[in-house]
Amino acid sequence: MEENFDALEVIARTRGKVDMDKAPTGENLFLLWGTLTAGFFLLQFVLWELLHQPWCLWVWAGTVLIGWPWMILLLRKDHNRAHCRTHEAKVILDIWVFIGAACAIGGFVFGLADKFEWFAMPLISLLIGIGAFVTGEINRFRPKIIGGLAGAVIGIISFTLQGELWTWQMLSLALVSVVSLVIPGFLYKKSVKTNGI
Amino acid sequence: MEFKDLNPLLHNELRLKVMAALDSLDDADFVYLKGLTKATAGNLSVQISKLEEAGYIKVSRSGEGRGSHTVCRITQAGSKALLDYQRTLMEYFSK
Repeated sequence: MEENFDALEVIARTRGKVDMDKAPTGENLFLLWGTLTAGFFLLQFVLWELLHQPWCLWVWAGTVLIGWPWMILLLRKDHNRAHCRTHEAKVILDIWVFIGAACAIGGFVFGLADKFEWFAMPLISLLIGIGAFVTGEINRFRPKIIGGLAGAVIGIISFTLQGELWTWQMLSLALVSVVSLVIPGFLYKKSVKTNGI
Repeated sequence: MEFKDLNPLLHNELRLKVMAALDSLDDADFVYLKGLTKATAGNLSVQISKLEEAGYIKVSRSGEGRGSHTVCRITQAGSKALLDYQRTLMEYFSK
């Protein structure tokens, strides 16, 4: 049967409609991971300074134990709401799954090797900064780009916190979480609410 | 002057809409495609099956009855077919 329609226009119009429908997803993930990371590393710093017990250096694991199930719940909710998933959303999710796994594995490996004070926290800070920067570039959202860059710079500087100063790496990581995740996450959520972008 | 034939599977408005949408997305469910194309559930279902049989899209179904959830995703072969289709169309216009 011969079809009579303007195929190129159909393609262009459909793509245009899809672009309009692209609902932003994952706007809560920055806030979730930022708040948990900042909170647990701050708590770890306080407990370590007060008690000086080896178990205090494992407080950060709470981030993983609470964060992963919560993230899965948020993603499921997002997917059911949106009915479709964009390439950008998938790339961003893959980047953060990689970063999350790298941070968790790195944390456990350094922790089990009793070398947590080496480079674990500066590396995690750097990864968070880079992740926020790349996400900001994909989302075209400037606060994430700036927050990511600032986080990466703080992460690089925190490599110098060695010797007696190593405990400050925990505060530095908490600061990176606030600068790269919590503040941009809050601004992004606000922007989605007001502009839908 | 000779023209290449248009891919008959894609030269259908509804199937082309589905393919163009899926090419712009990572995946989309049946509800989304139905709303986007404004097609009836029956017609959309038939066209999706044709695209799936041709290997242009991958369909994953979960659940049964009213609670069932169908998610579609374009394959590499589907993306290439859509690109070839557009190129052929452009040749029609340029010659």
